[in-house]
Amino acid sequence: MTGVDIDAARRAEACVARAEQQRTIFAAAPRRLDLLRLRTPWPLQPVTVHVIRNHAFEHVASALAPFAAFAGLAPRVSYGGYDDGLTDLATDAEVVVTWVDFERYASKLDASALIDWFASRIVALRAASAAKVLVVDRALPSGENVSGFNAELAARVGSVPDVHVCATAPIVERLGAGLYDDARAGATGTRLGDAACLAFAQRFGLVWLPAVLAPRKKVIAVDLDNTLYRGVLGEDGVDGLVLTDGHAALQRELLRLRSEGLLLAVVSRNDPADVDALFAARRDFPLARGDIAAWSVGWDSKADGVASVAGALRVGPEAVVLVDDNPGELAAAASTHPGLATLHADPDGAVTASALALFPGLLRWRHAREDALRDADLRAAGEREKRAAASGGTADYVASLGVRLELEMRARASRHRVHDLSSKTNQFNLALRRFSEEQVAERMDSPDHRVATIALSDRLSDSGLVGFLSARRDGDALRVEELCISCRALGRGLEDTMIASCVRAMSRELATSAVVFEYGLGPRNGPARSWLERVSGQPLATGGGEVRVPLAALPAPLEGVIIHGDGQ
Amino acid sequence: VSDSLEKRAREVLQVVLGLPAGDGDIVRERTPEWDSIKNVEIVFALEEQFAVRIPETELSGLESLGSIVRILERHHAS
Repeated sequence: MTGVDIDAARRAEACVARAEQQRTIFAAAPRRLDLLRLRTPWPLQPVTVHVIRNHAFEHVASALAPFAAFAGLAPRVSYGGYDDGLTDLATDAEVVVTWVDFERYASKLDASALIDWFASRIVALRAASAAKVLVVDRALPSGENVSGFNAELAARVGSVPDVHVCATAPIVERLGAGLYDDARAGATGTRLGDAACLAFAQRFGLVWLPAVLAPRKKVIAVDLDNTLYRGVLGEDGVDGLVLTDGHAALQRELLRLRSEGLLLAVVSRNDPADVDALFAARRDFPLARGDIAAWSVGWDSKADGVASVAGALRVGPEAVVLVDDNPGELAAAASTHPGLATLHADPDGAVTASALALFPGLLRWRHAREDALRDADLRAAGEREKRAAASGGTADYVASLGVRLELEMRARASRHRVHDLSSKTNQFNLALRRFSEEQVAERMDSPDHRVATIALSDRLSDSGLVGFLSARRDGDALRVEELCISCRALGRGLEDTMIASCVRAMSRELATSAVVFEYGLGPRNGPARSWLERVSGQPLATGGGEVRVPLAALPAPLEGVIIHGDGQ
Repeated sequence: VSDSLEKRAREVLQVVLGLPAGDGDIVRERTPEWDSIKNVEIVFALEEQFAVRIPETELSGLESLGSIVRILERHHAS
């Protein structure tokens, strides 16, 4: 599930091995011995994790490897000393975990003072390390207002760049008073019992570490027969299909994930007319036709179905999780599409639902506004294509849509979205620099840098923040060190207008007379490179490099586009 | 009962400590992998495998496979 590439046969083998591990890995109560017996026949991405703590993490770490391996990661864990003061913050690890038993401060600090102090340590940690930071919040089964404490904690430290708050609430709710084993604390170095250590290892390995290290999934593509319900549509008929409690739970889990910005697709080998009849008739299904953003229903292979829905949703197959009850079809699809994640649907839909709740790459730390907009935006894409085909030219088409661009410099509140675009955009990503959130914040605060964000809307939909340029003054030139546009905004003929408007606005602010575009070479950034070749009139080097373009050579804005915030 | 219990306890130690299969006694002081962290992991794994709770007062007595079997027998491990 990480970017480690393997050949088709090994991808199929890994898919089957993962399916075999699922019951152990996603178990509601994982068993230590079962986990230790698992073997991983696929390559792993090494990652360094440093734990700043005031109680033992070792019994979590000892069960972490199999969970992280399922997500394609091989964490190497190092530790600071037991330190209530959290004083030793320097580390060059890729990820830092703060593992703090907040109850140890209860007799010394009230909640407000404790949050103030802890937030100051996180700010100090941010200054001392470039790592992504995972803050584990307060785990307390009963007593004082822990949800209020955790909400305040998240508000305070969650605004620090590249700091993410790991919510313990799902673990606490499941284990209740069984979270702690105080009698053992002397021997184990932590009040947490074994069940809690295993539950934390499961969350770290499957959810929290992948959320900061592995590519985020955007689409869940589900099979229908014996996946969303019990039965086979073509044999049992619409009324013969059984919506068990477990399958209803699975459908509700899919809706929850949809509400967090994931797109849902159906990839099913069935007669399309039967499927239409199914969703028209079965009003007892929590999932409705309108919840599905893309369909591939017919007799094509599942591999072709995945390609079809990924194309319709403008993502690569590596952004898809395919859920299917047939391991052979999962393996065939996995062998065809590198990076495709697969989940074998259990006969008990509740088991599949629990697995999805923990599946790597599905967690959203923050619900970006753009995630919520994506579904509606993609539905509007079809209407736009019809209008483009019917119009006489791009200007007419743009005018008919009422396209509006909002440009903003130093949009600090959008730094997470800028980081998101930088890390996730592949096609229109010119330099492939992959800025961290902290690097974005540094550039927004620097007097010699400008980060321009681009928001796009039209009469059909609001696409939200779809692109950004990051540039700095370099003598008489504006040096564009990164340029990203979401694939959702491509294909509308707006790239020239977006980029040239940002460059002109930045050049005015920084008093520069030319622009230098830095570029890189990635497996999929051909669209960005082609754009630069066209605008500069120069062929690009095979790998990376830079191209200087006079400001006057930049394209004029497209007639009919309403541009706000460009400083004119 | 003791043979079966010893076999299962041996397997726990082999899995947790990453030891090769074998049938001799496993003694902590002759097993470098068996450090204090692994000792806690062994306790957790034994309790999971045998559905028992090993009293805190007996944790320091886990010094060998033989001592573990005696502790498990004393607590009627299933």
